Amino acid sequence: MNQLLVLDKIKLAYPQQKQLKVVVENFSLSLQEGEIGCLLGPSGCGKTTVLRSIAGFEPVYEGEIKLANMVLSAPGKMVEPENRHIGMMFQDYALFPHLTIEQNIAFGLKNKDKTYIKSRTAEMLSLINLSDTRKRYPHELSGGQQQRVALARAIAPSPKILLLDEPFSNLDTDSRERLAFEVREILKENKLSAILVTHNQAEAFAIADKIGIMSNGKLLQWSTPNELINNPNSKEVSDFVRRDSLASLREQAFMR
Amino acid sequence: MSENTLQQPPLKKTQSFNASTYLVLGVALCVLAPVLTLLWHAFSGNFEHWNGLLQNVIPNSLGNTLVLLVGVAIVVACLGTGSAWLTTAYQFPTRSILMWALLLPLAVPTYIMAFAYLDVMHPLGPVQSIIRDLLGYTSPRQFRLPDIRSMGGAIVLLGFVLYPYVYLSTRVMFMTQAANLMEAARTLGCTRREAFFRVVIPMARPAIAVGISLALLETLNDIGASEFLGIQTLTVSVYTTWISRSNLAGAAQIAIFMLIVVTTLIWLERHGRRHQRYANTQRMHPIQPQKLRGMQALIAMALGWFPVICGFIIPAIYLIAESIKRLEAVGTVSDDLIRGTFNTITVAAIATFITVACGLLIAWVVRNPRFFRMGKFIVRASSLGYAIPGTVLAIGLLTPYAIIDTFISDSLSFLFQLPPQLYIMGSMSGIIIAYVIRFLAISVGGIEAGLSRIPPSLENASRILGHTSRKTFFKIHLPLLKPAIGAASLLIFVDAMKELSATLLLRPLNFETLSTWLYAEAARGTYEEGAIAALIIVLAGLLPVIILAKSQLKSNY
Repeated sequence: MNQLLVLDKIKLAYPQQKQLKVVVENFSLSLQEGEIGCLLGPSGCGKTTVLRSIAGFEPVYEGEIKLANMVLSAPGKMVEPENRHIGMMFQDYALFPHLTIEQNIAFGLKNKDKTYIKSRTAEMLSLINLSDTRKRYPHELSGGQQQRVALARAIAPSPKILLLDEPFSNLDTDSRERLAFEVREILKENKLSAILVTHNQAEAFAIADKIGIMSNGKLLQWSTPNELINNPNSKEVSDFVRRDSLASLREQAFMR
Repeated sequence: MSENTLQQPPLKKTQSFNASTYLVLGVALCVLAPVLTLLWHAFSGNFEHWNGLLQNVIPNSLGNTLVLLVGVAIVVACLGTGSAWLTTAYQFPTRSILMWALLLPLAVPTYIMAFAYLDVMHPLGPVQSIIRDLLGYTSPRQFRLPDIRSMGGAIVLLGFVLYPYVYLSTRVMFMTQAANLMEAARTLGCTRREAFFRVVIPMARPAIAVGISLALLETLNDIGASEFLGIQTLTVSVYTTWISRSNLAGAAQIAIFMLIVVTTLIWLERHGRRHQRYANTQRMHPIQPQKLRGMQALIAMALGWFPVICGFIIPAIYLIAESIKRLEAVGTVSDDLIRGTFNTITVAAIATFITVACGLLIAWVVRNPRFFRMGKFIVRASSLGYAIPGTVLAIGLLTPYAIIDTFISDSLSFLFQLPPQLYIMGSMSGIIIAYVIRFLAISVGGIEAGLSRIPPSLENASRILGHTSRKTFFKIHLPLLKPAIGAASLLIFVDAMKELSATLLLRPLNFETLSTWLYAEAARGTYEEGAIAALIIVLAGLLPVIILAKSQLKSNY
């Protein structure tokens, strides 16, 4: 098996006054090439911190993070984010307000010749169907369009893995599901591996090959969606899956 | 996982200590240097001085300073709060113009206010002549108004240019907080007037305290007005002790007393702000102003415009009239004035550039939440430079300058056989360094506020897209910070143009700026081109006031 991303018993924490506030401890998972993984859990369970540690924004206090057999993070060691070849899509999209759509997408294409940057940017724009807005600024686009620009910008430099932090939370419920399928298609067509963080079960099941249920800094189960429903490894997991599917049913009922 | 690293939290060495960190600490220590020097002088020097000072100089000038501060505090509190309430609670003709016009006196430095009124209110000047004509007197001996060269005169004059600090801080409070509480008070049976005294004023107390302490810091910094009006304040004592008696230790010892007053004022300001974060931040609707008609509207207009007329319109008209008179009589301006203007702009521009660059560096480095706490504390302490009166700052800088000058001169004459020379004290650098120290807080504060409006995810996005921290700064933050940098630059430039008290002590021989030129003319009593110099300073001072007025009015609706 070709393991792309490995988190090996990592511990993440924040210094608070003189003490450490542990967010996640003894946390392990692995993702294969081409897979889309998803961390699912309520807000405050530490899933975003895990994502940020993979990106290199948070140090690990124990354990290590490996990408394609290279150690990225370990205690006392930290590859800078810019040297990790990881793409990330932020919850607020983090589009640069002073750059056009085109310039935003080209931002990560450095040390490349001009013709390549031009053709790659055009390719990305057509991938997200926004070729005619390339000269506009982010604030002139709708939320869904901004989300697609953020995706295009993240995958333009061909990262080894893509991280998505609550990618659909800023959208209304209708466009959410549509875009979740769209994103899955784009990722699969480009053979991209990805890890997604969300608290919305419908999103997770729509997009992921593997789902990890998180609660209070622990990974309860890491398996395929089918197995999660048919074969939960604990009462907590089965409760969570059921409660959440009820919640999403109710949400849908209210929408109608 | 290796065993020896198990217990160590992984410090990111590259982010905690690098060249820019040392640079920031260096700048911060430069800012603290004058205060440390003063303390050293005051307590290592001759203690006989202390006795002499405590008996002869301190009681008188400390007393004068305290009376002046208390008087100015009362005047600015009444004028500032009153005008803020008038323009928020009542609707009358010209109200919307008055709202920003009330800020105009900010453009008039205290020494220009005194300079103008000394002439306007002179027994033979326009105001007293007109009054005599009206009353039918013929000679100043028969009737004259109380002399403006007095404590009362100084308090009133300073009050009329410094009240906008109180006006600004209380008005924001009234606009955002007052409406709901007023309504609650009214439903509980208070009349409008009762609600004002029982709810609005107590609620605005912190804002009033903040405004007053800013106005008093300006009062303490002032040297021109008190000198022209003949008030022997601590500031004036520091100045004369050094200039006419060349007694550095004595000047430092008096300066210590000023630092004590400054510390009290800062404490007052912090104390005033302490509850601000608990203030209600819900979206509040502004007060519906009550419409005034007829006589009431006229009275409101008169009350509202009174401070603007005294604090801005009269001095402005005076300066314009005098400038025109002078230009018509002579036909041209002197070379000295042109040189002074050129000097002022050069010094202010260089100081602005350096101050903004230092501010960017400091704000950028301190922004990192993992920046160590001691460093943060030092940087915070250094931002108090704005509170140190210019005279005190200058006295504190004399010794460090002398040491550096000796060092540079010695090493250059040793290395290149250059003749000994004063490289800092003998050039503009002395003033420029003082300006940077004094105005650093403006640039750090402004740029930090700008940075806080840029979401941290932008920085993360740029890093994950392959750009280093430095490159991210130049490609993302610098372009986004342009408005904040522009505003800070303008404020610093104008403040540097106005600066008098530190410039007087630190300028090289025969080097005049507009403000020192004005000071010299007023001190000699030869009102020649002073009005033109003053007019240039006031016109420059109007620019930030206009921008401030715009942003204040926009943000409150």
